[in-house]
Amino acid sequence: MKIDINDPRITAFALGELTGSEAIEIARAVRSDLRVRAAVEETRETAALLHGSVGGGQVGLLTTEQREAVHSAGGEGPLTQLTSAEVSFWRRPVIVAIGAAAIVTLGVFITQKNGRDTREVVDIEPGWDWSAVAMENLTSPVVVDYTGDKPPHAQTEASATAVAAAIREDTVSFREELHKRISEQDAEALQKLPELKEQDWHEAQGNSGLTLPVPQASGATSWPLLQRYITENSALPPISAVRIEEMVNHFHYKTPSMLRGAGLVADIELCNTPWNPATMLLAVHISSDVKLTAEAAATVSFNIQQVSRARLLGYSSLKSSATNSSIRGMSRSHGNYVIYELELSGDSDLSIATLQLGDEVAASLTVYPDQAKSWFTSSADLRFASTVTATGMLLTTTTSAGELDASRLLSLLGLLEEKDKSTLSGERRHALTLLTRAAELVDVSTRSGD
Amino acid sequence: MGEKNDTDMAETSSELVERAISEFESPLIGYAKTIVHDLDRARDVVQDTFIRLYQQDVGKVNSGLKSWLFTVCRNRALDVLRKEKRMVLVEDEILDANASNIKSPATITAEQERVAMVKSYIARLPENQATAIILKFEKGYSYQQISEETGLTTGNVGFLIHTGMKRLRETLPENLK
Repeated sequence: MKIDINDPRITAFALGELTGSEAIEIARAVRSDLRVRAAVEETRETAALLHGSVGGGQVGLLTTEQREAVHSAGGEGPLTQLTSAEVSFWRRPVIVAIGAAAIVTLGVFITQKNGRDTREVVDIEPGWDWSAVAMENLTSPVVVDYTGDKPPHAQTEASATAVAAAIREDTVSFREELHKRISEQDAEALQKLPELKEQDWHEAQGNSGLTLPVPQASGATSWPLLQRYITENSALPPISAVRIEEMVNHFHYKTPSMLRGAGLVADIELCNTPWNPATMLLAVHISSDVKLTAEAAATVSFNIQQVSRARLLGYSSLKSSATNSSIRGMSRSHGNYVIYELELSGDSDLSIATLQLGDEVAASLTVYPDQAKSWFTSSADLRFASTVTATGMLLTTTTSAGELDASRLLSLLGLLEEKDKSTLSGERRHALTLLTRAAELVDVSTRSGD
Repeated sequence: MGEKNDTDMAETSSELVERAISEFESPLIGYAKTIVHDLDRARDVVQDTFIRLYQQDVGKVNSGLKSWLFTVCRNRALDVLRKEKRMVLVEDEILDANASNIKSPATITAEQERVAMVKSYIARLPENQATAIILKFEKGYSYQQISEETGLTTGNVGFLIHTGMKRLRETLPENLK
């Protein structure tokens, strides 16, 4: 049954006043209807404000991040940066702009799965029926296919736009469906993923500038696959199942706040690479600002007087263009944590990189050498994300891995646990256990010469 | 074919966790805090408890949900204490916590101003909404207790709080949110 967004039971549910069948009914709506879930979150935020002010005491509620972590443990992504539940889904500007294409194309996806060759329009509501979308579309990787100043949406195909739009508006049930299917499918079917080719280094030499995109979306396939292979089979996943960006973005990170512009908000951080003394890591955490606005590109421009080459870690491209059902463009309902690796050529005080959101001059932030931290003193988010990245690199036998091997990764994991043990969320603690197991399996595999 | 009632369907683990958060989040945090003596740590314990709930068989846990949650919460809270070898330090920590809770006059003034501001926005609500909000959040009453205090039905109380909170969300300035 569809719940009216103004139903007082939603407020009662958020305040813990509902029990029995009514509580089950609203809980069901929270899981299936993004508008209801947003309304519950809004009510909880207001309740926390009122408890904390007129209530005169500490707020005995989980933080939004903690609730997201709980939801994520059940196989779904966070509900962040969602537009107000008061706004009708179809009235949101982005959806108006691309809605028609999304409906038609998702209709095509669905009918393709059903083996029909008609382009019928499918009536898609919030809480879409992802079960009707073919697995190869759900598991498509996000592909970064532009350089320089061309915004990604300019090259976006209608089909890709449709899936990106659908995921953006319905991230929760998309992830839920994907995780469910991954847990149910047989191992053979799970291996049918396209082969990937890792991102190349982009050289500064011979170029007038070195600008890389900040991808604003990640798929969600890799982490649940990794979990399944390692916990069920004590085996390493196939290389095609390892997508670093999806592993990193399975987790939640501190909401960015350093730079706002063009409807985006982002943080940037620089530290040394713990497995390669010749390089540094630059992390950008990007998300949509309070409300979705026109889509905008974000870029990182490296100062070629300081940086000799740079690359994105993750976001591998497809080896075969024939299997090109990848999602290009963006899905900003889920903030995205992106890591670049860079080699420095200079040692002056000149800037290293500038993060730019959209076209506004004011929406840029420059990083200088004195802002670089050691890995050990960088933020807990960067320590964690870079360790997940290192695991992905090890599992895909990446090039330019420096001194990274299973032993080094196990050391990093040990350091992470030691340094952050008092602040690690349950979600990250579980992740460390899995990553440690992965490193041990790689170690055994290496020793046995597999 | 008759329409199937939504609540007749088996509850999924996601729905069970969602309901458990709604019903037991605050009592569990309060309970965990009595063991670990720290709100943030209590929240972590409760977060972990809900994550563990996902791993349970819904059919087995559902009938004794409250008991399961409080048992796991207690065990997790004790684990935290054991891990941090803090059992013998609890008394010291309580003293430290009390010391760290001493606020500066400036902080106290700022908090008082904030409370006064929020109350001024509540006062702008229709009287019956403001009363229900105050009883709920200042006095900590349940819907049932508010109903008994005001003579309204619990349904009316729910409607007044729902409408009042919605109005507050719309009118409160950003710096208070």
